[in-house]
Amino acid sequence: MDVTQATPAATFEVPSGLAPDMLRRTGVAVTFYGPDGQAAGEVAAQALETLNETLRQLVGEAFKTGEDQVVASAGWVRAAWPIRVRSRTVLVAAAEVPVSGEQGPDLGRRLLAAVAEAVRAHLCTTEARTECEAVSETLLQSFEEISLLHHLGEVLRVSRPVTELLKYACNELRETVDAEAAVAFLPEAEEGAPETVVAGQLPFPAADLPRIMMQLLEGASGEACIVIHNYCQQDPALAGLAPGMKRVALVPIELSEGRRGALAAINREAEEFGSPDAKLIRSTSNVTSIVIENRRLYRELQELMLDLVRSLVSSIDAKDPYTCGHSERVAITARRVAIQMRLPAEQVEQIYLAGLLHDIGKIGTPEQILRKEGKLEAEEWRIMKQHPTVGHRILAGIRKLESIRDVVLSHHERLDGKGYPAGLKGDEIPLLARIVGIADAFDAMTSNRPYRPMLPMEYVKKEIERCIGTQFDVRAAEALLSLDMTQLMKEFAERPTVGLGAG
Amino acid sequence: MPKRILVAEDEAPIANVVAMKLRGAGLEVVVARDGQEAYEQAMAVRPDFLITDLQMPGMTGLELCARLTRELDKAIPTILLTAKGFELGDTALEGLPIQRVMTKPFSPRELLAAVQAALGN
Repeated sequence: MDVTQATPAATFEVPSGLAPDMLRRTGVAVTFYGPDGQAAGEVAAQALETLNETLRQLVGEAFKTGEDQVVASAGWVRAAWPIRVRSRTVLVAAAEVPVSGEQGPDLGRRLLAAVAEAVRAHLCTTEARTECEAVSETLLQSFEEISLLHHLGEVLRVSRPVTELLKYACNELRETVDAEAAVAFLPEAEEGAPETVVAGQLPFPAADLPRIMMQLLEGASGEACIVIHNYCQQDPALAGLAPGMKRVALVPIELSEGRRGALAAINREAEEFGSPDAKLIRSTSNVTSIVIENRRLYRELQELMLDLVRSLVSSIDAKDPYTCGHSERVAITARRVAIQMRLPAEQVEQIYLAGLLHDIGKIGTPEQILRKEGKLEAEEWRIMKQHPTVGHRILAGIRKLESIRDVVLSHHERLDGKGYPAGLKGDEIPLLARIVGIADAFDAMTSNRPYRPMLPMEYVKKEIERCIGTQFDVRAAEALLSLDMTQLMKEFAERPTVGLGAG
Repeated sequence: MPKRILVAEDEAPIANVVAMKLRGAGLEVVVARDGQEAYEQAMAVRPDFLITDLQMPGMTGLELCARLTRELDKAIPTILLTAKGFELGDTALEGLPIQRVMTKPFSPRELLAAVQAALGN
């Protein structure tokens, strides 16, 4: 008998109840044989006993040829039918009926042919049902995966810190794979983000996590690079590394320049981690790595823009050595005030940029006016006062800076309407412009100027208070006064001077 | 006695997946493939819980739920499955025993958890 049939097919199971059912319905005992020649499935009791040499040979022949075998002799009709699944004979069904008389053999053949058809139909249905279940099982996994990715996608739409995304991803992953813990590990995380994010309960101290993840990551190399250990404690290296860790499934998070983090599910009572779990972890890891990389690229762009702005600003400082570093100090002061006023993060970022760029229009102001040590003549003043409008015009067409143009335009307006260029009053002046305005005045007073040395802090404070409501916004002024201004000055003094104006 | 869940869903793959998930958790599942069949099954087997798709040929999930609520003495707690982007009006669920609306693609795990929570175990 051919025993070399591939093993997977041999696992085909005869549905329980089929043999007795056939016996009941047709009076014919059907026996099933696997490729190993052993009776398979549920066998009618008497069938085993009646298995004779002829039948045994027929079964062997059916396996060998893959064709139906029928023999009529000495009062019996015997048959063996190969049962094929995906072009492979996985089983042979055998049966025999006693016959008599002239018509006997023919009747016997027809009866057995009918039985064969019934058996095949039944097995076919069973096979279809098994396949349907397998499809549903796969679909079930896909549903979970789609739902997980869908949820992650929703979170990505909202711009949140990476840590928050990781936390969400770990939570979702833990619930989807039903693990005791899900962890994300970033060896060289961005600023502010922790190296590890944990959802659920770790079986070991959290401090050990980086070491364990690094160790497991070493095992994740090549294309597949999925690490699954279902019996960690039987592996001496792992047992020593992470006591309490029974099962772990880990997938790397691919970052830029070959850096790698990891996403892992740890411990599950119910069953071993397998490829469906790995697939889910991988999908999550893919999404996560894209987000982390996008955030990094965005941050780099942001930094590039700020550097460009600073370099642009330093060109004004270069024209006027006395105001060297002024723009940067105004930007920092304005940002502090905005934070103190609890403005939203987006506005805080805007005001920093606006502070840097508020005097950009001075690029168009002649140096002899900027550097003039004495009082400005009326005509010189007229030119000097053009710088907000010029700045507003210079920044036109830069989409990213659109929202701060009005701040640049209005930073010399005063609450009482005596400012320039438009003479706006009170709330007509954008809030951010009022803040930059006070930061600008503060820095002017606390800096050495061609016509006077820096003013003492007490005087500056009194001056700000005196001008609340006329020149300065009350909220902005109070926020500035509540800052530790002496400390702020100290920080400025210690700062490496920005820009070309340093010389 | 295991709780009996009626699943009304015209899309066979989804019906199979839901049925498989619920059966795996030891619940008894009856599947109906359109609103009318679901109505008849509900009257015949009196399920403890109903999971119904919103968009089905003949009778929508809401109509099914409303009809059952009208004709049975005891309301059947229900989870409504809807396609993404199919927004229900604020008043659509009024007076119906719909405990939760889940948007496809939903997680079978979440669905099972919701059913178990509703059945109180």
